[in-house]
Amino acid sequence: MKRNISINPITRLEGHGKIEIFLNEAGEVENAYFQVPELRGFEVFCKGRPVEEMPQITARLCGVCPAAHHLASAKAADAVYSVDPPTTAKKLRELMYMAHFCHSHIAHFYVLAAPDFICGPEAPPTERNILGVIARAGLKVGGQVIEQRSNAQRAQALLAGRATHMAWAIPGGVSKALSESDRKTLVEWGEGMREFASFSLKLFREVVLGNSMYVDMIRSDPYALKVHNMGLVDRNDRVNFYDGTVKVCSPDGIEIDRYHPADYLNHIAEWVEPYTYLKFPFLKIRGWKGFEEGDSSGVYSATPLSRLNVASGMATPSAQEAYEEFYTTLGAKPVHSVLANHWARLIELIYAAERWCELVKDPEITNPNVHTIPEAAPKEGVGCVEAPRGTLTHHYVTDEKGVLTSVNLIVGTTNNNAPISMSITKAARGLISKNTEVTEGTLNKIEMAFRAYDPCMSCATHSLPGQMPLQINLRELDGKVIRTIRR
Amino acid sequence: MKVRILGIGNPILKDDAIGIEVAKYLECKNIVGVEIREVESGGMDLLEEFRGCDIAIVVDSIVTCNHEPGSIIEMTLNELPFTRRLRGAHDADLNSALHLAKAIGMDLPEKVSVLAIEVSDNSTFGYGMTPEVEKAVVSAAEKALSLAFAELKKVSDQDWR
Repeated sequence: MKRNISINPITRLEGHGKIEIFLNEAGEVENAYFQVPELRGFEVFCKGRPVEEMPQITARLCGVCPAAHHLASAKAADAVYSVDPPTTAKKLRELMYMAHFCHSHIAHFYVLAAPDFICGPEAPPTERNILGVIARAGLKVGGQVIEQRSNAQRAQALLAGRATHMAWAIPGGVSKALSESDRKTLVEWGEGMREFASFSLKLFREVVLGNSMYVDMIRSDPYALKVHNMGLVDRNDRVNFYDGTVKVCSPDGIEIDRYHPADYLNHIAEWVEPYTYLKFPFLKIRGWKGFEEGDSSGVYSATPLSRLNVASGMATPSAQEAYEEFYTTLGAKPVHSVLANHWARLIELIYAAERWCELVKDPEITNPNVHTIPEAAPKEGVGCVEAPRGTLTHHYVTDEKGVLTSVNLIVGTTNNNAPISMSITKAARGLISKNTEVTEGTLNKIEMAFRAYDPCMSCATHSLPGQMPLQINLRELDGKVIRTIRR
Repeated sequence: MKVRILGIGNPILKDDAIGIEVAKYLECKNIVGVEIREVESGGMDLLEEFRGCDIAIVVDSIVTCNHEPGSIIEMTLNELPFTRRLRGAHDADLNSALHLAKAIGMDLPEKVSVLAIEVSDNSTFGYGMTPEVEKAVVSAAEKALSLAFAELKKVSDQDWR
């Protein structure tokens, strides 16, 4: 009997994502698909607007990573006007971005990842959530999660006026310099963040690495995916979130491509499948060979793990130490376990907090010269940053007055569209076989492969609401539902 | 007693702007004793918007498909199925976040009421709402205000006694 298992957020009334799992006659997983709905009309909305409005508009594309869009957009606008912002403006943008990374990675680890490990992947969903995490890890940890996230949010607001939809980065720099009194506040918050980042890694070591069941799970085949990796690296080949060149390494760890972000169209193309609106970017150097693993495939992923895999190391001392521990423990580089993304994210959290502290102590950081007035005629520009969930590219073309004629975006989650689908299929194949009773725990373990990518539909399309409440439908071949599980 | 009305939405996503528009309408009225906020964040970040008030009234869009667009539905946070903003895509839903925040002793409102406005298009980028939803701005604003005044009146009645 063929069965169709549909993992479907019950919030289907609003824009939602869906996972469809198809079983063959033998009761084994034939294939799995990841589908997301479409948000319409973004390009039409942008065309005809002045390019300098884009950093504000694109920040509203997504309530989850507004700072990433704000900065990718401002960098694209810099390029449109061929203007190079003053060094202090670049450092301020990077400082604000470090606070954003801390904000985002704390949320993912404590709210989305930790429940699976601290409460257990098969714990009832009523316990497997942030409240369950706090019940086990203690109220003090809960207080820290809220306080540190709040400080990261307030740091962005202090620098950029507002935390969610800032009107700060502009073509040629930023609109506001940093005062000495605000700098002192940021030093204090940065130090607090650094301590909390170290604590978070310590917690991960104790809870996850200290439990052989979890270590085996991380190393297990259903959670492995051997695809190419992509990430921005600085001049010293280290991970950089704000700037650098795009580096791509094969599943064997060999560099196969490296390019300036402005040249992305010569290196990346997009495949389209009829069942989803979301495109599948692939490497032109390999071409689209389908949803295949291995060196000959064009599929790449751009995640925290990918960033670590392509770089030679981290640019700050504690993060570098954590980076070395990561590869020593897991035994090889590159690491292919998608669940290792949780660990990679914490290493990045340490880096972001350390870089925050470095930047805020930089003697240049309070320099009032934070804007270069654009003078060149506007034309075309590409801006690229590493968003928390992958390489983010904005590409604008304008007329001679700076009015937009074309807009193209490749957002973090879109990069990972093919790897996400492949990981779901692998996890489902590994966890469901003939006569398997598909429990809520089974479903959650499949979803763990998906969640490791920290997928965000808010800008790839729009919100996948909530902590992804799920509905599973077991269907007969004719579509008749034989069983439904909700959570 | 501090009463706060939070109008939540995205101003460039058609009908999703309704919460923001209600807040803007009320801001123009210069109402004494009720704080009005336009809010574009969601999920756990909303905690900051709740901090420091006694009563919060949330105005947000919703798609239930059970009501005509422009209908105003009053509910408590526990009854709330899911609106785009109150269930953050990336973190805890507001109810869990509020429970967590209360557990650690954060200064949060005793009561949260929700006014959800049924919308038809919150998936297209653009300024301006659909006509039915646009028409609901004034009545939603008045409804939010009457809830706010009812709470204030409860306190003044108690004081009087």
